Amino acid sequence: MIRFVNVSKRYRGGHEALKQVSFELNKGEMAFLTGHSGAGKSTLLKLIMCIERSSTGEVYVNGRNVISTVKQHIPTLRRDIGMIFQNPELLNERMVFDNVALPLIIAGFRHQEIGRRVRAALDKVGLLAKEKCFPRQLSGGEQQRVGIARAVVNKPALLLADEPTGNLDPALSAEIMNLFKAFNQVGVSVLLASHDLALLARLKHRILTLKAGVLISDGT
Amino acid sequence: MGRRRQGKKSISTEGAERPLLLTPWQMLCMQHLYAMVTGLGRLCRAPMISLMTLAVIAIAFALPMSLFVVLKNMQHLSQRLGHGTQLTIFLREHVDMTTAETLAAHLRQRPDVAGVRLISPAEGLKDFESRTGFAGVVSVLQKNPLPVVIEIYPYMTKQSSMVLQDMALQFKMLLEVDTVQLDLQWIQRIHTMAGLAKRLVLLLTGLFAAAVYLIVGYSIRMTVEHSRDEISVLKLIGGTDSFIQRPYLYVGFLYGLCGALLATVIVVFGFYCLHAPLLQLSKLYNSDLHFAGLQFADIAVALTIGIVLGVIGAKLAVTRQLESIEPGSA
Repeated sequence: MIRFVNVSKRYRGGHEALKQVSFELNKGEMAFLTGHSGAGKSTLLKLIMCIERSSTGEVYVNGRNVISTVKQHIPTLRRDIGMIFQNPELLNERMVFDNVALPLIIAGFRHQEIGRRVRAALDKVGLLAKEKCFPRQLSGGEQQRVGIARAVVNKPALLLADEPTGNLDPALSAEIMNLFKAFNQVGVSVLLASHDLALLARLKHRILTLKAGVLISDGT
Repeated sequence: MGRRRQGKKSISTEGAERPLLLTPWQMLCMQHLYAMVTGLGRLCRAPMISLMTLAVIAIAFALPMSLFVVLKNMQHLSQRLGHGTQLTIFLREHVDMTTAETLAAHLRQRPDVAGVRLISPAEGLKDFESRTGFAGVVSVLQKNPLPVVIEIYPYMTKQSSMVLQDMALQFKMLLEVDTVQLDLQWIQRIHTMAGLAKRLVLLLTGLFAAAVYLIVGYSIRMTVEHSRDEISVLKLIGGTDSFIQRPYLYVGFLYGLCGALLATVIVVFGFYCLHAPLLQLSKLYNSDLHFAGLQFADIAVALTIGIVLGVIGAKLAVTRQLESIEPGSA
């Protein structure tokens, strides 16, 4: 699903965020990406989403070379990936339903199909009753779950999450993690960046550890 | 292409009896509808700012539009006056009416002459009396001192002052002719004034068009600036640049259309206010001038220009800014 081949990323100021990183994430696999702040976790996820481009090396997502993707094809590449941030990045002036429906409107789904899928996604994250609320009326955990619903509504084969539990208390964090596990169980590949080592240790999945841009360990 | 591939995938995995994706045409219509509603929502979210921007656009539009109405009426007036252009030929004293009639008939044949009027000395004197009020002048004078006069009405379609001057010279060469009078100065003045007004309108239209473009561009830039987070999210979930910028183009479209409409209302109202006093003034000068306001075609042109300026202003503003916004940068 994801393949990194000797990927390095050097930012314009000279800071080298990733150094010769190579790994592979199989279809249907769930893995965690960990490391201290500034270790390169976010950069790695940004390379997959084509938000940043690597300086050297190659990044493949679903067999497609991300580095050589032309600008016009980036939107279609991103539609196949669900991305979740620490801050759920919702549109505050639109209702929960409209926020979750956005990826489907962009992809050109029929009205009835949009309604059906949005409600299914909201049901999965337990927010069906709040579809008419505005994001500001929801708690932090609920907002994060709306972000997850938006990421999965398009049924992507790959889910990326950058510190999705960073702002949540342990109970809520565990709840969110269970959601990711549930998606993984139905065949979605998941790559989740987090520095909450205690939480990751409990979940017993593959853990990729970055330190100063270098992949120092890869295992459970 | 990507969408179609995705569509086939969805259909094949979830049953083919009902397509899940819209056809490209339906999708385009649906996304345009979505963009229009989103654009309208953006305008309604800050109604005071939207209304003020609209008012500025309308005023910027109303000025060249009212000048256009003034120009149209001036051109109409200059045409009317042009139709009254005439050359007056005073024949020599010894030329009698019979020779004058032959000459008049000869002149009438010319292709550049629309009409000829022959005025006998007696008629001339009568006219003089009635105009000046010197009724007893005939009894004082032993003999009618006036010559035979021929008035020539040239065709005005392609007449310029040069052609008229040329005609006057040709007439002056004739043996029977004493003098030819052509009052060119006022014709030249009115034509020059109309030409000047036309240029002024063009110049101001250009200036105000630039103003409309800048106002729309500026307000769209502000709106985009306020929506950085939203644009970043849309880019992240796979929104294409055209999908993201479409609502802003509709905002530009609405600014242009509504601005031009409001400007039309201003000009029509202004014309309505001035029409009655202008007619009264015209009557006081013993004239039956008519004043024309904005025609349907003029309004259609104004609306089109408004829409084009609005959309272009929005497009240029939003394209440049979209490039600078990337997911995660907000």
